[in-house]
Amino acid sequence: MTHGQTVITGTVLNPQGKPADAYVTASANGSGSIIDFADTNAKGYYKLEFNSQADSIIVVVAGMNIGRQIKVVANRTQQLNFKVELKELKMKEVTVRAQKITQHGDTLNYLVGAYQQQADRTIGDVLKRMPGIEVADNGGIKFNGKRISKFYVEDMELLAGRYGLATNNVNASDVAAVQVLENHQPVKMLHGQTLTDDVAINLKLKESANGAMAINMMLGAGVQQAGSWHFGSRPITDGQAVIGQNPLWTAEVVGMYFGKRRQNMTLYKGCNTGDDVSKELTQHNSGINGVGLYPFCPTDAIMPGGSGLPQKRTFDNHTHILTMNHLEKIRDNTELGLNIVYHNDRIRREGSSMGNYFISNDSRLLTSETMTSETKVNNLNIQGRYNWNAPSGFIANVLKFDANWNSDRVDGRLSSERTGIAPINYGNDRVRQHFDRPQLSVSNTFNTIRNIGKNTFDLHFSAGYAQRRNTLSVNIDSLLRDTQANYSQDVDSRHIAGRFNTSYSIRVAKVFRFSYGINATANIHRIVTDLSGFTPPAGNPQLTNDLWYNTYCVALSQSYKYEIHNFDLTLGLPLELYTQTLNDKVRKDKHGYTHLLFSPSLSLSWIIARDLWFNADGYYSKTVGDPGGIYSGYIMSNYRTFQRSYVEQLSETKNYGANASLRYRSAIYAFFANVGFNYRRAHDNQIYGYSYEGATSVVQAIDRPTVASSYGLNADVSKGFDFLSSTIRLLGSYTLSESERLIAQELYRYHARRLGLGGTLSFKPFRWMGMVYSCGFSQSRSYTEGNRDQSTLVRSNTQRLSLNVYPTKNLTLTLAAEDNYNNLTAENRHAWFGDASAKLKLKRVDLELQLNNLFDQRSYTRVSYNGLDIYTQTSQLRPRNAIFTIRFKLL
Amino acid sequence: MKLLKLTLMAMPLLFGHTAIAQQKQGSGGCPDPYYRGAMERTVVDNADVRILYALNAEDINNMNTYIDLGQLQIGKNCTKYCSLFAEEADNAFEKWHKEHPKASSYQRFMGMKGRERNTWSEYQWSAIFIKGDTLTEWATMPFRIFEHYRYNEPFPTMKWTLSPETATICEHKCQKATCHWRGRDFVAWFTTDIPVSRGPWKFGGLPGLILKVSDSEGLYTFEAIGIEKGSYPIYQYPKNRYGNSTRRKVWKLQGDLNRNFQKTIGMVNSDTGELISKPKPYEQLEKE
Repeated sequence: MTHGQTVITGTVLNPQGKPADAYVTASANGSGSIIDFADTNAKGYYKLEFNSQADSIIVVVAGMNIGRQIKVVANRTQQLNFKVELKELKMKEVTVRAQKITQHGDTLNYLVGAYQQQADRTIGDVLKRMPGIEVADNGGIKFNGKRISKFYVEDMELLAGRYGLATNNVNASDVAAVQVLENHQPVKMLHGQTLTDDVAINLKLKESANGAMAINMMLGAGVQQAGSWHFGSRPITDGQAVIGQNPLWTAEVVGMYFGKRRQNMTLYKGCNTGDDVSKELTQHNSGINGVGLYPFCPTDAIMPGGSGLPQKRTFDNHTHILTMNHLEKIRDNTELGLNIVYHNDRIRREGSSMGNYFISNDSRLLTSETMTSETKVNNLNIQGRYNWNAPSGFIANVLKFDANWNSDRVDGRLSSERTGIAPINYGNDRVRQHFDRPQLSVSNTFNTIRNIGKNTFDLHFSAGYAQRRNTLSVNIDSLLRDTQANYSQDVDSRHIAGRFNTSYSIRVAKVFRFSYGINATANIHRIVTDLSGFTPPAGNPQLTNDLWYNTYCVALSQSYKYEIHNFDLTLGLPLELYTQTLNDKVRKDKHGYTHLLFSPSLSLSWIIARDLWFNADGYYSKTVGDPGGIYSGYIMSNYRTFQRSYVEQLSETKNYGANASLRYRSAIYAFFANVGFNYRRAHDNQIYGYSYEGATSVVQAIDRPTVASSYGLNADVSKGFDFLSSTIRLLGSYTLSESERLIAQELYRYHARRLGLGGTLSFKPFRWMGMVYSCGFSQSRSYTEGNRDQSTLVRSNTQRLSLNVYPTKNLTLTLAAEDNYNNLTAENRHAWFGDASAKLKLKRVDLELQLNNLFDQRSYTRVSYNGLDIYTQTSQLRPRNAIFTIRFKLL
Repeated sequence: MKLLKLTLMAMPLLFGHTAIAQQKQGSGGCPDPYYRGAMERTVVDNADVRILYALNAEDINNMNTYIDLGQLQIGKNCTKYCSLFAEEADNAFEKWHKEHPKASSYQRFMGMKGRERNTWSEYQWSAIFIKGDTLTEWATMPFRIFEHYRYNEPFPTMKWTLSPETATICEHKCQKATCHWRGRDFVAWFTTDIPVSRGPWKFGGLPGLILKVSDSEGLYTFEAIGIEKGSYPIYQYPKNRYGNSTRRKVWKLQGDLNRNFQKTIGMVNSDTGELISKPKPYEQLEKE
């Protein structure tokens, strides 16, 4: 049968008989293709006209508010009316494929979900996988090679620089995005006026976590293969005892609240498993430039050196940390903050070290030392903050109080001998050291910034006081000669410091900004020392010091900046009037120096393209005076070093330096790269001379010019791929340095070269498996002129493979293996470590079983060589151990 | 022979790219947000659905390779096609301006821009409102040199020819339709799953939403990348900043700005006093 033209007409009306807004289509039954269409007119009328050979036709009426109605009719001219009801059309939503990193102006947004793997619990775990972001071992974060200046949660800075608390405790699943804020200007009134090249990180929380209170708890217990069952402190032993003691325990309670107007983070963590929980308290940046407080104390105990392995394997600890951080937004632009941190620790380390010291080209000093140490730590830090940060002005005030009661107790055996033409055996000594080192400091910093017309006025005032009354007591039993020596060094040191800065910047002709300022600093040091038990070399019998050492500085700072939208050039021309006074009450000598110092600098910043920056700077500066060069009476630096460093002439150091860096980042290709070069040169009018008396070195500052210089090149590249959810990072560095050392009146010119290469690859080959492989390689050569051919190349490698397997959505198995290689180690050049864990996520609790040091390595040795001296450090390690933890949400 | 083959294969790639690059060109820069009225926008309707379109994407998965990310908002009383990049920039500027009321200068564009990001194009900077049978173009001009304009025209009648070919675009089954309109041949792919007779820019008139449309020379391609449900306010710029005009005047001015920006704005050589002229070839989407 053949069909001519078919005409279908009709109406589309709603139940009330009123015309409906609709589209009508006709398609041949079975084909699916539309052959004609029409929309309804104001009366609801439509007309379809088509030619089709099909027997039947599908007529569809559809509209956004009427849904869809289908009628199958014979292919002939006819009238076909529709009655439709109000009905929402069901529509398939197609979400735009989310890019893992998006860029909006100066903000990069990393989607946490795109980088999070099943094994990741905290946001810190996920940050490590994000290309361009680097988390150092101490928790410090860098973005594309640049250290971050601020860390915010929901745009509020609760933690005052201790952002390890956030990265180690905020659940990754509560964070929607990690925002990297480039060219970050934290002062609102300077937005759009003063550009910075600072980088900050902000955590954007998910709606569910915003304004919600959370309390998480973890409890754990375990055993280790060796080490007695013991509670409390243990006696100091011979340096070979097992690290750690049974039973092992670990616990934490973390309370968090992140609201729009109030944030709080309060936590307790404690353990004896070696985990360095106190690392979370590291202050990576301080919100406001406070005054530096450093009561002078050149004395220290000699501790087991450590082999460079992570603390988890070498520390025998009893750590408790307690911190409360609170931030209250009392008005839109006004915040009050309080941060209280308390850290209590008892750290025991066991180890031995061997030193092979250069004395002359044909004579060396060999020392062997076995030590056990116990350090008691009690640190309390309280910080109160007030911040008014409005578009119209800025005021900040920070009050800080620090009290530390720390002490070290070290017991060791030392044997030493001198080799060469006239060998001498100095015998065996038993050495006991006790260093009591309390310190107290308090400081206040105030900063305000105001706009006066188009110009900006900045005022900064900071003042503080610190004191330490420390005593180092040493008892040496000389086993060979059956003699005993007791040294005691008291240091009573106080420091009062004040700093006042003010600057005024003027905008000239839109492209220039001139800044002028007055900076004034005053440092007042009172130093009283008393050494007993030491017989000084002939000619310098003084064993006490009683000094007032003050420095005052008034500087006129001036900087001239030329800025256009992608380029700025700054010339700094500060002039400084520096005065130093020394009142030596023992020598009854009083004198002062005044110098005019000039420290020019030039820096440029150029945005070559949207994603490419170039920065370069060069400077010259001169510093005079050094508290290390003012005391004429001997001070025991440690029981092997007695130092007097009084020189008639004031020390003078001229510093020259230059830096250049090129940074590239592309959010869309998740590609980040930076390469940097730096150069330093220092001319000093004094050098420290070393001489040896037995195993004891005597160090004196000597008026003799010396030069030190270094060159460094570094590069860092990282890239994220969608393929296997992988991220790759490669880094390299090369440094070259030259300096001089004066040993036994002989000057040695000393060269060192170091090459470091490393990389990390994180990928997910299967849905049920994730892998992270990282490796590091370093090679160094150090030598003095004349012994270049005899110098030894020092090579060390580390590699670590960590494998996460996800048999189910709730179970994560982790296996990690680590190799540490050192080419100078006599035995066991490859030290292998293995760790394993199993995590099970249940509805209300997370269970975890950790097995550490699977190969049960008991000691680890690292050898280092600096061109003159060779050091061999051996650490005792925590034996194989198992820890079971249970983690749950209280709220 | 092999070399020749390779050269022949490479040629369309080279020319294709050159042709696309021409579609956003010239010396006209991003319009000033203050002067286009970003601070004085009013909400005229609300859309429950919006469709996002990539304009001339080099890589459909990478928004930075689009000339623009457009959005078609389907409101209760009207539909609006405009640049989402531009709207986000307006939102960012409005927020920034509220936070910094005393700032003496501001960034001309905040947020994502796509490629050729600092150059003005009428297909990024005009908004197309369709209400009933009336189409209104709100044409924002580059920098702050010109007045902005708006004009009305009847919703264009495109005589579509349906073709049985189908394709899946943005996860929807689409049917092909072709038409000749204002001097060019266009191919559109529409879906009856979404019974809205609209598409990107001024395109529409099919019994379903147009998810992809391009001209036969491949100069302009709009392709849907997402269909989102939600609540999206439909903004309108203040009328006092957009003078009344006609389609022909606006169309001619837009073409002239692309073909010879300096001459069109009357740039004069300060030494000779002569009008500067730097003509460039340009193909407008609407040829007439």
